[in-house]
Amino acid sequence: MSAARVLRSYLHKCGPVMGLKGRLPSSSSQDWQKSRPNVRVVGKEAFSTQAAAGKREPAGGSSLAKPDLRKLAQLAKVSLTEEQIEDFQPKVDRVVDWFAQLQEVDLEESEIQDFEVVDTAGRSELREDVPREYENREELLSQIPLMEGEYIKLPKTTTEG
Amino acid sequence: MDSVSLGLRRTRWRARLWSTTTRKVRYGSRAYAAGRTDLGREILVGGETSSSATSSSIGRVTRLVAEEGVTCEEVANAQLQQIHKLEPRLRSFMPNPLAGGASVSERVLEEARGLDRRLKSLTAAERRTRFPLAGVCLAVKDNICVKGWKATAGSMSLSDYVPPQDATVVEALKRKGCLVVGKTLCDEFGMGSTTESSASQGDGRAHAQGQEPWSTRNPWDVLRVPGGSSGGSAAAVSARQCTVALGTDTGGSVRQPASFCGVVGLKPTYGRVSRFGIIAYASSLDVPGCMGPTVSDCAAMLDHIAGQDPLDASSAATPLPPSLPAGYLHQATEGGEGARPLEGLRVGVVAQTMQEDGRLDDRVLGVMNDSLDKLRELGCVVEMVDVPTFDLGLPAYYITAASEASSNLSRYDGLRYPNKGGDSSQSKALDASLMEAISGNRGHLLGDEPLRRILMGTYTLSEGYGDALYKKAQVVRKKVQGDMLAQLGKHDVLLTPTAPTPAYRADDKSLLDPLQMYLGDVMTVNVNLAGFPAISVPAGLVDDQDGGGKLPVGVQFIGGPFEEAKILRVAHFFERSAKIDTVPPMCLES
Repeated sequence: MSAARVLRSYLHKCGPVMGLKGRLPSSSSQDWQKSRPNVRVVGKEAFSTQAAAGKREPAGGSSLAKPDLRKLAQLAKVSLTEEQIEDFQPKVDRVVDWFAQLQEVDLEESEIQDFEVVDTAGRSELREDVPREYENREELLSQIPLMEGEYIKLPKTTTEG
Repeated sequence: MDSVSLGLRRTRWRARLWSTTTRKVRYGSRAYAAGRTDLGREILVGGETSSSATSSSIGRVTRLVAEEGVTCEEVANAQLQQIHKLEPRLRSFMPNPLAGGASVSERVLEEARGLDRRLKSLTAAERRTRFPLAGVCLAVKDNICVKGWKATAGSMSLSDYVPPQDATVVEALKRKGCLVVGKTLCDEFGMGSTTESSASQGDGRAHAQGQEPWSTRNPWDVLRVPGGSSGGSAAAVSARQCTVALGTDTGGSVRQPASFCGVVGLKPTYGRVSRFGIIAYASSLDVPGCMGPTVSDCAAMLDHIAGQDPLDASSAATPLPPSLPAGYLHQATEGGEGARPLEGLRVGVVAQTMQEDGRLDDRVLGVMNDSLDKLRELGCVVEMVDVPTFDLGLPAYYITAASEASSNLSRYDGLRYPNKGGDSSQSKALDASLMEAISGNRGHLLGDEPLRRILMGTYTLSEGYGDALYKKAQVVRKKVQGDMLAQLGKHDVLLTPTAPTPAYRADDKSLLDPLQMYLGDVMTVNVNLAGFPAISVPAGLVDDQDGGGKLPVGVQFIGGPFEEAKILRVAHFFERSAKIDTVPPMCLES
């Protein structure tokens, strides 16, 4: 699966979260749609869009912006305590700066477009699309804490957001 | 200590082990009924001399069961005694791995007795073909599923999870007669190089509250870590608490702890062994690995777990693994009686890993140079080779791993499972929106290192950075693979140290900076990026600069795709000539 497809599917998933909730101070869903760069293009456009959004500054020397942990935590749906943010920020900054050394690597655009991460020759064939009953159905369902009939019961959540 | 008192200590140890064995176990072994008192020691480490201490454990134990009338129950009991004896200091195993808090000893002995009953009803030939691993005690890393045993992957989000099925690798070994004796500690979700970020003993935030974290220690020096993330498995094998162990290797997590603990760690080619039943960390990098006291142990395990699995679409259909009896064990160990069994084998030492730029510990450099001499004596043609993109592999690896991990760990939302907050009879509602509930659960249930990697993975995949980081990392990955493959075209195997240093100290504050910890993985990650097989073999014992003891150091042989037989063979003859006594002093203390 190409990285472009991975990225597109990821952006597709997080797009509605970013757009509809409007939790980011300056991007409504429309702004986000307009400013989304074409993921196939490497280079300055991607970064200049972010610079135009004016929210971030590059971290020490590298052209990568300093990770905004609160925003990343929202995207990843993890809630962090203030202590954790304080503890993680320098550590994550150092790692991202270190990642930035890949910027130095000179690559052809064609190399970036098509690559095969894992050699798929010789892998299993797809199976027939035929439903089957599992003999150990009860065991498979045994780890579900709460069921009601055929449904898994979850704690009720509020309807906002 | 002089030989007389050492002899007396050994006698006391043997006598104590034997007396507990007779108390708990049916007195059934013909060979040992006559009064030989060293059954326990024979099971754990073999005979008196150091050469037998390095002979194949699987070979020894299966021979005791198949030919000398020792029962599986006696073997299991000896292992359980060793586990109980060393656990207070070592902590290799999860403390309450069975559902409902059932007793591990009882479960293991019951299974051993069941196996003995089945073996009794078979002829000797049937026993050999159907249960070639009868008597082998297996420790399983806690991110690999064993039916009926908890699989927590070191995380609070899975603290009560009991898988309904065995992982394919576990099922394959059990079918051949292995007994599972425990689940070993690992870094949370396989993320870490020290086994210190395991959230076991219930509360993963123990050390935040000022208590010492429950983490595994190195059998060679309990003030040091066993490495990670398969540290528990490495420590258990090293301390002879089990015969062999299973681990997983995503960025060196089987090979680095093998080096730190003085055992052999094999990482097969990606796709050689099924990943079904292994809790995923990074799906294009994870590989289940074998850990054992000797190369022949790992080869014997690989014989039974290699092969395509219809339940794992990434497992390779071709090439087929060599079929028994001429399998990996046979190919690795047969022949080679002459003085130069590896005559003509071309070994390429990766020059980037032997730089004298301060990254490599002097002691490790010394062991590498000794190893090159040994290989030349065995007949190898040893050369330095250039892999120019070697150093770029490490950031490319961490970008890839963090990105894939952020995706794989998104399923742990705390609502579907473990679902502690939902009690339908009271219709207890959460005072939170769905997203807040999920975020809160994940923040609470996931440990710091997984959280950081999820954040970094979210960053590397996010808008605008995907091309600069993730995609570029994949292209660098391809380049590293290409460079290594080019060198493997001109050489049979590549050689590097497994880790730049011997085992870290447990209180090493510099490792609190994740970047420092990542830099220690430089030797191993490129193999995962490329998907190649590699094996770490103990190559020397160096002075422990803090204590008075010794620390093991391993070297890594890397092969081309699906060339496990070749690297196993090189490693086997190297091990045989190196003659390192890999039994840590802790093992033989009374």
